[in-house]
Amino acid sequence: MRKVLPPIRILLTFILLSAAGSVHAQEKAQQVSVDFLNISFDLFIGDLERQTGYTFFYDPERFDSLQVTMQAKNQTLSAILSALFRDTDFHFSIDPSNRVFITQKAPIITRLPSESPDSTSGSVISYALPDSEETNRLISSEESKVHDIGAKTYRRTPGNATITGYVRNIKNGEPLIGAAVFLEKPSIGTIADALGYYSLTLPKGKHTLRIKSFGMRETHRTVDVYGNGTLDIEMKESVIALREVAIVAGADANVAGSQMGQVKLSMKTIRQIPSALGESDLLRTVMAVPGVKSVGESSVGLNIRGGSADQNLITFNDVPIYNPSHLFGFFTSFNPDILKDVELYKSAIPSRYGGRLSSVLEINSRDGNRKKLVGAGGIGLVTGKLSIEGPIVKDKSSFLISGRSTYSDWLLKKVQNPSFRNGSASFYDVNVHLSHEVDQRNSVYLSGYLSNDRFRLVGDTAYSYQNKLISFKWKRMLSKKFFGSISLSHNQYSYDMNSTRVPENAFTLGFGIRQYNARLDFEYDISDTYKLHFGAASTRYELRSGDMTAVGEQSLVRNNALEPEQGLESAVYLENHYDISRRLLVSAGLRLSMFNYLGPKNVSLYAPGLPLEKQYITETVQYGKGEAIRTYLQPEYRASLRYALSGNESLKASFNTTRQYIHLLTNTMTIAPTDVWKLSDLHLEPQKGAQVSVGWYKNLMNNKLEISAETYYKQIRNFLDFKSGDSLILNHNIETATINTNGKAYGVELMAKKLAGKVNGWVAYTYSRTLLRALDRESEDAPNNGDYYPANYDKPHDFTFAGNYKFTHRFNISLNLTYSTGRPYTPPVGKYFADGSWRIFYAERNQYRIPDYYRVDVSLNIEGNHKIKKLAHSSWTVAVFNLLGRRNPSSVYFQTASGSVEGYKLSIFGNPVPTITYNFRF
Amino acid sequence: MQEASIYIRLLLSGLLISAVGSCIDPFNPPEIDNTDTFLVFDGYVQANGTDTSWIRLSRTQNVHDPSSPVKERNAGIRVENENGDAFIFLPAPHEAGLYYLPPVSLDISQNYRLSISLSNGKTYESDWQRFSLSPPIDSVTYTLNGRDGIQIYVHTHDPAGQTRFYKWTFEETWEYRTPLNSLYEIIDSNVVPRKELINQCWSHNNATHINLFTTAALSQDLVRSHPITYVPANTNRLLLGYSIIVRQQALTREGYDYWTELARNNETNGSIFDPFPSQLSGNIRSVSHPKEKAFGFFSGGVTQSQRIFVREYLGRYPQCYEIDTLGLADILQTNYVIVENIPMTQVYIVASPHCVDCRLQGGTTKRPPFWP
Repeated sequence: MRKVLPPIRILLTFILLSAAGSVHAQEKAQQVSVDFLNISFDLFIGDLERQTGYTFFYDPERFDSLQVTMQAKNQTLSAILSALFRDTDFHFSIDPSNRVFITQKAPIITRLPSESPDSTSGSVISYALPDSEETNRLISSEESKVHDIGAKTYRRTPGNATITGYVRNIKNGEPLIGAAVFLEKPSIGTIADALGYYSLTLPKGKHTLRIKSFGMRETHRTVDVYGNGTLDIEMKESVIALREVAIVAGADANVAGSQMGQVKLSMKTIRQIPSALGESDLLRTVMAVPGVKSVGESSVGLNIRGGSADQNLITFNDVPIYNPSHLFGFFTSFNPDILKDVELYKSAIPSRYGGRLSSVLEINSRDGNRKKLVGAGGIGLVTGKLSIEGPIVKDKSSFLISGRSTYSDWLLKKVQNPSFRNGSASFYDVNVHLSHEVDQRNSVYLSGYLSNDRFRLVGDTAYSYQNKLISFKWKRMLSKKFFGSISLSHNQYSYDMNSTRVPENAFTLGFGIRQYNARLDFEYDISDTYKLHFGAASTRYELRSGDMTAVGEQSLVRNNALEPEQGLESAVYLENHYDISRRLLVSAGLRLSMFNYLGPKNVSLYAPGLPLEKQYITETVQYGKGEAIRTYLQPEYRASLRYALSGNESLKASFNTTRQYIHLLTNTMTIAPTDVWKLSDLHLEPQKGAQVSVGWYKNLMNNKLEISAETYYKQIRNFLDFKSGDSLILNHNIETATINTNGKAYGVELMAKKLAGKVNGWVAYTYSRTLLRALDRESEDAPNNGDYYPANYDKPHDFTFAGNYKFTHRFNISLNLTYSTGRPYTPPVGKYFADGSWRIFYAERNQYRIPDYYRVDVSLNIEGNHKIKKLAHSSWTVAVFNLLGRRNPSSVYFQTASGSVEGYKLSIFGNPVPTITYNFRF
Repeated sequence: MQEASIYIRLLLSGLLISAVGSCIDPFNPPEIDNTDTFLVFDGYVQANGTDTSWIRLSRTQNVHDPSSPVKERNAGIRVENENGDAFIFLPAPHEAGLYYLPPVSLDISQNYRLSISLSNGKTYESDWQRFSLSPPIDSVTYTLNGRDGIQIYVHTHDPAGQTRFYKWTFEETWEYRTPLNSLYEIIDSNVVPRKELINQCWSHNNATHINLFTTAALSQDLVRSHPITYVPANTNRLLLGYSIIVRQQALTREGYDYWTELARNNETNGSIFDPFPSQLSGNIRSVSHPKEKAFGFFSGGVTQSQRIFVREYLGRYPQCYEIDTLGLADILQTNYVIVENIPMTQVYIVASPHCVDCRLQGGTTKRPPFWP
């Protein structure tokens, strides 16, 4: 039996001693004989323990090279040990409990001086005495200390124990989310959660815990685990990394996690991707990820694995955002300085998310600095931004406030067209985030967000839209293995448009969504291999479906308002994560979602068996307030598994079904700012999606290089398309304007990603198709005669390269290459002459493609010097978007207005767009 | 409100396009060959008893086909009402594929239907269609945009509130002159005084945009300041006399929807906010092959029009830089036109034809009958 003593260097360890008994008296009773030639110290001690029944404590590392050769007969233990350690600096002491301590430099005093007042009482405490200089050196670092975990006992009971605690940034107290806490041998590890909280179960005994977190200096803790206990870990920033750099999940998450189709982008990555107008742009970076497409350059509508733009759940601090863009898609409406990271789920969507078909894009803001007041800002060509953060109560609570705004209309004034020169456009977004750690177990967060866009053209048409949200979240550690969080939030999206050019026609048109959300989430780590996530969520929707009102005395506009809509979407979910073996991880989840379409509302009924047309309305039924007009209750299945082929190679598979109860009514190529949302109702069924995907993952070069291949097949049901000619705005019978469409999407995504090193970035290739077909193929409204046609965002080949080269710590250059097949379009198939002009006509939808898309962007980041103490750190970003100036058409179109048929292609960024941005922080 | 949203979309995409210096390049549509051609109906039945109704029948063709449309000759066109009164269109002698109905006063309260029988035996029929009566135009006005041009507006209303759906077309006519006035011409190598002056011309231009408006969302059937066209000063149409006649047509709701779709299919501006082009045909169907497409929208009624004259003298007087003095023998070697005789000599002031002959710019020297 080998017992392990903490290294001799750690001398402040408490040693419990038993006062009674005489060492010498007992020793005499024990006679030992040894006869060894070159055996290891461990074996030697083992033999002594067997003979004497004593327990030896020592640091085996110190003796692992020692070979013992000794012959002795019927000697006392003391004599043998004295002979052994003669002329060495090792010492031994034997206490009355038959324990032998072997130490270096100083012996352990196992008895107190007799004058000690406690000498007669039960147990006493003694400190071994180090020399003071060494002590100072040693205790100066947490790293060199041995942390006892659990109640220290003489004898360790075999088995496992759990260490829990927080990993934090020593400088500002921010939790280090995703920090990896692990043992090298045996290979056990965990990742800190969103609170920085980790929980690691490991065999009892002494271990070196290693802690890694992106942008932080790697550290380790020596622990001696006796039982369950806590250990908080503070990490220092790596000097080269900037504070904004967020944490990337464990380096091997790509291979090791069961999650697939998940992409986490750190702000560092986002900053490195050059953007069109000089601002680091989150959604534009997301578009560089395989499987994500967009119809046009100026659009932030994401089409993820064949889904339409309204099928993405975009959340900011867990609250949905309906229009995450400024200036109709040129900017993402989040100040990049306050973001922590962005996570995109495109195949296996965790059960806790629901309500959208295709993907979840989770945008999280940082917590403010808990240690000191700091700020950051930047000035670009169009916007200026500033953020300030700091502690409210040091180490306990913090705030983070940021704002961003256009600072001038100069861009607009540059436009030659007088109608724009006289216009104005502006936007801003404001963010407040408060976090407070009530105690070790409880944290609360309060977050508010407001974005506003406004512009006016020639003084007669003004348009504005805004997103607002407020959320409160309380996270609680119910036990070391049981975590819970409650969140309550409210968000709204609305737009208003008004035109006053002709007083008689002056109107304002408004639309809005209000949402009240509550959710409860639990995570229960039943064992190291079995985790349970469960919870419930409920959202009440209130839609102001659209109303037009007269403006001014003279206006003749008849007030026209659609009845508001109400709905309640509720869900409960349960997700099991089970490590069946070290190779096989399974997670299986069920989400039961229910949607109630609620009154008050007048609902038209249609003659059964006939198409939904206004002439077939049989009656209109009136529903009272809160009355359920239609209820949909549907299970959603979420399952994924991982099979590790080796330590750095795995296969994953996932199956997903999803439901969506709120739909964007749009018949344009991309989301238009005047598009409205509509709840599922008596006639419009929820959209349904199902996706199967399989992937292969391998990490090379010590997890520095990740390669992956994923393939998917997806079905979409009840996707909404619209009959031509019907208006979608202020349509009182919108169901008569819809065509139910089914879609299928499939593809292969290949990616190689290098995250660390001087050269980093990724290369991705995607082959994908998205095809749609009307459900009622015989209907005369069915596009393409009821056959499959490619969706607008069907771009089969897509290649992306996003690379970054760090010359020095201060200079780095990023290069971004994008190639994709041209988007499909519908060309005219013929022309005729009527009413004084040529007219064109169209047939099958989307059968031809616009020219391929190819773009190169480059940006250079120059950091100021890296002196740690100075007034402000600053950096410059110089970028050129579309370096080659290639005129990539974003659309082609045909006009006959000038009397003949003319085809045109429109490129939005047809020239290189140089930008310069200045960023600072203090 | 559909118009509002379309209007806004145009503005928005215009803003986007202008704001970032985007480019528009020509794009050749793919050469899609269709061997099938379809019947195209183009016309309007005038019910007021004073105007002749015209109908043109032609065939569709491939987009890249440069030839003019194939006309449908020798077709029989008949318009009938529910009372059984039938009106037969006659082929116009001067143009193939053109048919006319002499002025006839039609009962607006009736529904009408068009039937066409082609020379190949195929027959087509329209739905029953209500004819609509346009209220008079209240006024046509314009506003000056500095010295850059003028914006023309139309104003109308229907006190009965029955019209609701409007369509306008216009024809603009302007007078223009060449910088120099040629007083002589050469006939058979002799210089003789010019009989008909060629320095004053009138030119005209028809609307090509589809211009629609509905008052369906208004509490009164009143159209105020609806834009008709913008005339930039740099076209020089406003330099001397300018006149525009605005014709107003009342539409049925179906007609309005048809024209809206047609405009959407033909006048998009390439914005990503543009809706899909749609398959649109109209209200005329093949009787024998219901799946066969036919284009055009049969409608009729009473239209209204109003003409205004504008004299704002905006633009630049034309200049002539190609001017010389030559003898007759030299003149005959060139295409120069004599402007004036230098008195007491055999030498003439001559100029390039463009400086002298306004007809070369497409106009006619014939003063329009309505020109004051």
